[in-house]
Amino acid sequence: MKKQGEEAVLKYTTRHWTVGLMVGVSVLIAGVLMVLLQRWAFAAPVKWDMTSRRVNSLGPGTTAVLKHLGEHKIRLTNLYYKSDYISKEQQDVQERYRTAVNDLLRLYQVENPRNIETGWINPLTDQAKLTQTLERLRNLPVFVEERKPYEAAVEAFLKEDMYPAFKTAMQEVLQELRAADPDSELTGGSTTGQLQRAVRSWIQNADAVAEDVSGLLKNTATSGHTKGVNGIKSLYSALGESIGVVANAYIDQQLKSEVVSEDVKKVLGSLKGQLTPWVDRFTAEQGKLQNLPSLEWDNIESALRGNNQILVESEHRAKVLPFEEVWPPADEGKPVGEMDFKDRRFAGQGAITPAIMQVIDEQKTGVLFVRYGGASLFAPAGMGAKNQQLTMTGLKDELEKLNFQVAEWDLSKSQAPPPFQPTPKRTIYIVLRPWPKMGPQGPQPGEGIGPGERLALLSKMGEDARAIFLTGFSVMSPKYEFNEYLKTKWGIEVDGSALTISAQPSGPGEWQLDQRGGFVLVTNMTFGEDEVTKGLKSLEQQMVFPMVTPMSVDKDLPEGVSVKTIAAVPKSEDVWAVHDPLGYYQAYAQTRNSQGQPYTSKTPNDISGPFPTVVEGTKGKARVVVFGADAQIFSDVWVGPVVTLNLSTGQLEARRRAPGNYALLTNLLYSLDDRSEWLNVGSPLDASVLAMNDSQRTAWQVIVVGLWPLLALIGGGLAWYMRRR
Amino acid sequence: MGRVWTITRRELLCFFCSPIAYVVLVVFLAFNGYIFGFLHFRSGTESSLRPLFGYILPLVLVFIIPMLTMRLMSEEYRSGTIETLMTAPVSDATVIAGKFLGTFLFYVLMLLTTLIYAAAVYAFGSPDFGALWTGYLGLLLLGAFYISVGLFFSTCTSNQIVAVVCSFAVLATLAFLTGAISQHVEGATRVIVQHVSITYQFSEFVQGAINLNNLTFFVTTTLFLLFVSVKVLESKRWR
Repeated sequence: MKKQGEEAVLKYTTRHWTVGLMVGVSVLIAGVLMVLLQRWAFAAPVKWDMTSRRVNSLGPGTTAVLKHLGEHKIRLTNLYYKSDYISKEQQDVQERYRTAVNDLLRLYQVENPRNIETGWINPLTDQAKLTQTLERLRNLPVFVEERKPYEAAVEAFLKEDMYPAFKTAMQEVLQELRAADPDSELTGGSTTGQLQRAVRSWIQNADAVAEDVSGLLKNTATSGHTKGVNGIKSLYSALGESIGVVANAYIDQQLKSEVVSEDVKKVLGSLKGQLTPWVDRFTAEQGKLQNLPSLEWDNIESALRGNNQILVESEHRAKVLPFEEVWPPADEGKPVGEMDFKDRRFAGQGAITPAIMQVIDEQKTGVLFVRYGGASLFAPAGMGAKNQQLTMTGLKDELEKLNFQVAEWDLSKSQAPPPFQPTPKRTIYIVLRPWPKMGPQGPQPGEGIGPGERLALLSKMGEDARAIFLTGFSVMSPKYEFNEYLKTKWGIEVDGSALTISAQPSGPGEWQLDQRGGFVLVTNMTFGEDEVTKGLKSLEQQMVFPMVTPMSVDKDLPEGVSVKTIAAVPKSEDVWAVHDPLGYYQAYAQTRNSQGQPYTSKTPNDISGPFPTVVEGTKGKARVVVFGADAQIFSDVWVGPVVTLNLSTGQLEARRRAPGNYALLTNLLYSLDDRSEWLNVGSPLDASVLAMNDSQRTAWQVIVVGLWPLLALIGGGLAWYMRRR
Repeated sequence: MGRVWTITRRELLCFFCSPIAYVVLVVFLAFNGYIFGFLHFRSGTESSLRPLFGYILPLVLVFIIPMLTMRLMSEEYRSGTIETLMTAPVSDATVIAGKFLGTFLFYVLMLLTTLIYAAAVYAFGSPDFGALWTGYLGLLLLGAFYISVGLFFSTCTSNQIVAVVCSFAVLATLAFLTGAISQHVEGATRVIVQHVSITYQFSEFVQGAINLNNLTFFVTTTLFLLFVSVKVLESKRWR
C-alpha cells in the first residue's frame, strides 16, 4: 500500500512537472512570438496619417509643389542639435524635435528623390560640415551678386586715390609739422605737437580699417562685408568730423593766437588747404555707403550660427527656418520659457514648403493694393494711420514671406502705379473702396473714385486683368464705384445700398442684433465647391466679413464669362440684408419688446440668404474676384498677428482673429497667379484654436465638472438601487 | 462565443450592481472634467483633446483600471465560486475572455462619457476628427492593455488588495517610471525602455497617426497577458 502510495505521489509529481513545463514552454513561445512581432513592427516604418489636415504626411499642396520642381535641385538640411551636455529630459525633448524634422524631410525626399536631397548637421559638433555649408551658400549667385556693391566699396577705399593717397598726404603733413617745429614731438603740448598726434591717430585708424577689410577681398572663406563696410563708413564719419574740427576750428584759432610763431602759422595755413578737401571727400563717400542695400546673406549667416534650424537651399538662393516657425506654440497663452514638446505643434510642412517656393521662385508676383485717399495701409500701427483698422502691415509681412512683392497705389494722388523693383512676372490688383475724408465733424462723404481714375486703373489692369475687388457697404458713398464695370463686363452686381446683419431670435418674429458686432460683421458663411476652398473647410467658421453687401450674379452672363461662388451667406433665418442700414439701426434702438429689449423684425424689402459674398469671374485669361466685404477683412484687426492680454492666464497672446480670411486670400492669390498647385500651402496647415467668451467657458466648466459627473452619480445610484430591489 | 458573451454580460451587470464602479466613474469624470474645463478649455488653445488624451488619461487610468479589475478573478477565488465556474462546461480561455470583455465594455462606456469634451471642443473650434478618433482608438488599445495587466494579477491571487497593488505597481512603472529610467540609460537599453513606455507608445495616436509599431505593441502585449492569464487559471486545476 505504502509503495503504491509512493508511486501515486511520484506519478502526480511527474505529471505536475510535465504540465508545468509545457505551460512554461507555451508561455515562452508566446512571449518570443510577441517579441518577434514587436521587433518586426518596430523595424517596419508603416504609419497611417488619419488627420484631416494631413499633419503627419505631406499635404496635396506640398506634393504638388514637389512635383513641379522641374530642374531645381533642393537641399534640405536639418540643423537640430544633439548634445550630451544637457539634462536627459532635455535630450529626449530635443530628440523628438529632431526626429520629427528628420521624418518630415525624409517624406520630402521620398516624394521627389530626383530633386530633393536631405541631410543632418549637428551644429554643436559638425563644425567642418557647417563651415563647408556656409562656404557653399556664400557662393550662391544671389549672395555673390548682392555682395558686389560692398566689394566695390571696399575696393574704392583701398584703391590708390583713397586710403593710400590719404595716408601719403597725412605722412607729408607730419613731415611738414616736424620740419616747422623739430622739438614738437618732444614738447607734445605745442600746437604742432598736438596736430602731429591727431594726424598720427588718423593714419592709425585708417590702417586698422584697411587691414580689416582687405581680407574680405583676398579670402573668400571670410565674411563680414556689412561689418567691413560699416567700419569704412565709421572711419569716413570719424575722419571727416575730426579733420573738419582741426581744419576749420583748431587751425583758425591757432592762426589768431599770438603765442604761435609766424613760421608755424605759415605751415598751419598750408595744412588747412591740404585737409579741407578730405573733409568733403569723406562726406561724399559716406553718403554713397549709406545707400547700400542690406545683405540677405547676413541674415542667413547669423541664423546658421544658432541651433534648431532647417536650411532650405536651391541652386539660386537659400532660406533658414527658425525653430519658432517650425514649432509654433500650440497654446499661445503659455510663456515661451515654460514650453516643452507637448506645448508646441509641428508646423514643419507649413514652413518648409513655402520656403522651397521662395528659393525656386526667381521672379516674384506683385500684389498692388489700390486705395483712394486715406493713410498708408502699411504704416506701422499707431504711426499716423488715421484709421488703424485699415493698416495691413501684418498681411504685407505674411505675403512677402510667401514670396509676393507688395506695394500700394494711392489713386487719388497718381494715375500711374508705383513701379515694383524688380519687375514682377504679374501684378494682382486689390482694389479698395475710397476712404472718407476726415473733417472737423468726423468722416465726411468722399468724392468717390472719378471716371478718369477708374479708367486709369482699368486700363492699367488691362484686358487680362487679375484683380480682387473689395466692395462692402459704405455710409459715405453707398453706390459702388466699379458696379457698372462689374455688371457689364462680368455680370456681377453689388447692391451697395444694403448691409448684411446677424441676429438672434428673441421671440416670435423678433430678433436681437448679435452683440458681438452683428450689425457690421458676418461670421456664418459657407464655402462653395471649388478648388480654392477645398482645403479650407476647417476654417469656414473662422472667417469674419465686415460690412457685407449682398451680391448677385446675372443669369445671362456676358459672352465668354463664367462666374462661380467662392463663399456665400447660407439660407438662414438669422442672417439677412437690410436697406437704409442707418435708419434701420435707429429704428431698432428705439423699438422695445414686452421685456423692454430692443428688437427687429423682417420686412418684405429685406434680402434673405443664400446670396454670395465672394465670387470669381473668368473670361479668357482675365480673372476677377469680388468680395462683398470691405477692406477691413484683410486688415491687421482680422488677419494680422494681434497681441492681446488673455485675462484667464494673464499672458500676452499673439494670433489671428480670423485665420479663414487670411487662408482664403492666400489661396485666391495663388489661384489668380495660375499657381493652383500651391493652394493650401500656407496657413491651412495651422491647427484651429478654440474661440469663446467667458460666459460660454464658465457654462461648459459647470457642465463638465459639475453636471456631468452628477448625472453619472444619479444615474448610477438609481441603477444600483433598482438592481438591489 | 455564446459562452463568452454569457460571462461578458454577467461581468458587465456586476459592474452596475456595484457602487464601486459608479464611484470610479464619477471620480473619473470629475477629475477629467476639472483638467479639461479649467486647464485646457479656453480661447486660444488648440481645438483638440490632445492634452487630455496625451498626458492625463493614460495616467488617470493607471489608478482607475486596477480598481475595476481587482475583483475579476480574486473575488471568485475568495468566495469559492471559482469551483462552480471551473466545473461548468466552459474553458479557461472562455472565462478569461468573458471577464476581459465585460471589463472592456464597461471601460468603453467610461470612454463614451468623455465624448462631451469632444462636443465642447467642436462647439467652439474645428477639431481634427482624424486625430480625435485615433486618440480614442489609442485609448481603447491602452485600456485593453491595462485591463489585461489587472486581469493577470487578479488571476494570480485571491487577495484583491494584492491584485490592485501589483497592477498599479506594474502600470505605474510602465507609464511613469520608464520615462524617467530612459533618461539614465544609453544605447540599446534606452531603446528597449522607451519601447515598453506606455506614454511613448501612445503618443502617436494622439497626434492623429496610427503607427504599426504602436499598434502591434498594444495588441500583442494584451494578447500575451491574456494568454498567460489563461495559463495561470489552468494551473489552478493541476496544482
